[in-house]
Amino acid sequence: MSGDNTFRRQLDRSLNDWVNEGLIEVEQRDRLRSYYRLDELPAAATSKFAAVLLTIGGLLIGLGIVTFVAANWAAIPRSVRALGVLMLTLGFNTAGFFWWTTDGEHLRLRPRVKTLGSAMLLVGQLGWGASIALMAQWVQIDRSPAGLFAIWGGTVLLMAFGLRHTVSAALGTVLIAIAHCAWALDFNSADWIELSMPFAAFWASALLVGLAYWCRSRWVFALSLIACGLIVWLGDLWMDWNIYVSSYEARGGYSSYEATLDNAWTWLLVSWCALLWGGSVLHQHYLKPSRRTDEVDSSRDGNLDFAPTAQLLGVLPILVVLTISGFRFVAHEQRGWNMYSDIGLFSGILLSPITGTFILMSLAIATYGWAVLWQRRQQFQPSELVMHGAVAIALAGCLMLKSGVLAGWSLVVFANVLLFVVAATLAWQGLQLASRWRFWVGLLSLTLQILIRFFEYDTGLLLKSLVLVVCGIGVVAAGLKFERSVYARRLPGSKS
Amino acid sequence: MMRSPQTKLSKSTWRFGIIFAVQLAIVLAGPLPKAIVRVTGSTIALRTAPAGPYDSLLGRYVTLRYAAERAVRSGLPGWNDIANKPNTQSRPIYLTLEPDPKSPPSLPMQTWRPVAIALDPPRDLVQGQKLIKAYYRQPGRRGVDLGMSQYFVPEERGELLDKDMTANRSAIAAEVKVDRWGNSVLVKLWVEDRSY
Repeated sequence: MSGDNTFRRQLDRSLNDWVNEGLIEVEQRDRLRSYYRLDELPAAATSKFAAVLLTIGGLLIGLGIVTFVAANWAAIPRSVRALGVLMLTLGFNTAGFFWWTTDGEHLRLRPRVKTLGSAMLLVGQLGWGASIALMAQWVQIDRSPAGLFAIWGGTVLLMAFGLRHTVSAALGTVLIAIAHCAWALDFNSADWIELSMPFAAFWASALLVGLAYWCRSRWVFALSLIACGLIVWLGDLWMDWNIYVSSYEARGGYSSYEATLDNAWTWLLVSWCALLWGGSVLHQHYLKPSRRTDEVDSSRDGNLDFAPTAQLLGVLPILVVLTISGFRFVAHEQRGWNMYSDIGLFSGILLSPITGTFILMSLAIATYGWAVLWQRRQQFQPSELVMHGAVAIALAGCLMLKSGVLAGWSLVVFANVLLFVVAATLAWQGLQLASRWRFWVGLLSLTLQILIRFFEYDTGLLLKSLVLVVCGIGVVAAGLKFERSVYARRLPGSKS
Repeated sequence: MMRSPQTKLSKSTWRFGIIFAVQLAIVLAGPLPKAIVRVTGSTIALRTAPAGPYDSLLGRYVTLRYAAERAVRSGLPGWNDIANKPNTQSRPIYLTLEPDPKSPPSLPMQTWRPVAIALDPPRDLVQGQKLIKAYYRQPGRRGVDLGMSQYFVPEERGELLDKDMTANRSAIAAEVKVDRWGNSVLVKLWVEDRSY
């Protein structure tokens, strides 16, 4: 998208010069202008910048309203305060809606009014939260943080779904995640929360990911994946930890229950990352058939390419876990590694029905995704296939880490080799596909791995300085080479 | 030609109106029943004690523990039925209240105490008895909960209330409204003859 716009802006500047120098005719210029829709360019650029500013402004106004509530201003009676904020919410929502859906005739003015309307709608959505809190104070309702955020998030999501309002979608996603965290950290919640929250991993992933598709927004998609990841992790493992810790306060050593929880956590991580990678294949296969065509009108569906987002968020946890498992203290840790072979590899899945079902469902979807990948392997580039293979190996390796087969130094070496394989494949794939995030994430985690390993062990200062310099030169050289190749690919006329 | 944008706009306006109405309904679903009880209910007082002040981002409140909540667990008629019936979710229980003969004289109003407890609303209430609904949760959670454990106070008065409550722990009462079905709402807090 951004690269495309850069090209269009360059074109916009050059076209008149070309006419003046007699390279093209005026009609050709006008045809090119309309083909690349250059007349909409400045307005779009302004509206993007204005959108950021107005969103920040909207957030600040909303926070101001919330702080106004917090001030608990005694001079105004509670009833007036609650109803006043409710009226403000009503006003912001209504005004925001009409400006957001305005049909202004002037092409250059419309985006700004629309963005202003969108920001006001956001303030309106924040206002709901203030209204809920204020009315709860007015009539003295016991409130749990989880209930407050769940109701608030629900109302905001309603607006997001109903109007396809992306900013509300982002806010609602964050609120649902907060509600879930509040529930996991505080047991005293209302009944309907106690009933629904244990299953949040299921309904939230369906609801929030569906919302991202509905709004066609990569940002909402990324946010909803992060929210769902948090929910999956907190899901009931956190609850299990709490129950475990409170009932076995005076425990010594590493018990089998703790090992089982650890095993369940590993399974969750593996199945979650597998789900994101397998799901990204399904997305590319079923939802974006035109991914290989070079269309100018990419602005419409460009935002719908969710696969890279899912893959980035699916590979980061693997890199983090492997980096941590590769530290030397893991080898020296006096943990009961034999516990893992005692409890068996699959004990984590059987720990709790909800977590187990989620793990199995994710693995099923991931397997289906990889099966589709294998069937349609001609449609994918070799580098993509290699990357998917590397991820599959890394995920299997993560399970191996907690299997009890490896312990001590063999485990540390294994984790480091895996980390190297994943990071190097990622960087290589980034070079092949001219994909910036893949290249930089891969390169930086490789560099980080090398640096950590050298600083962790007692190597001489001279060697350390040498490694630092070599790493620095390597990153700069590789980065420059990459950026040049990206630039070469993005030049007009070449396929991207 | 002129009509088409007009109808389109009004269609989306309708959609917005419906969404907004549902949002409003969700937001009002909590406070509205409470407000109705507040208007229609009859006033009683319940003895209570502070469990601690809290200051959250959304306002200051005092956590309250009611004498009635404790009294229930020390063996009222009907308690064994409830305690012996295991369940994981919280369930409503009904407390029958009567004026307490040992009501502290320094309070301006008569306090009430529970005399019986039941899983279903009792039908044989004697004249002068009142019903209040509470929730029972498995031990380890909250036990018996009247659902009125947070009292929101304005910032400045919160300080005064805290001091007053620690100085006069034995004469604190919550003014509560209850309706015929046992729904309740907390109205204000009394420490001796001072209301907050």
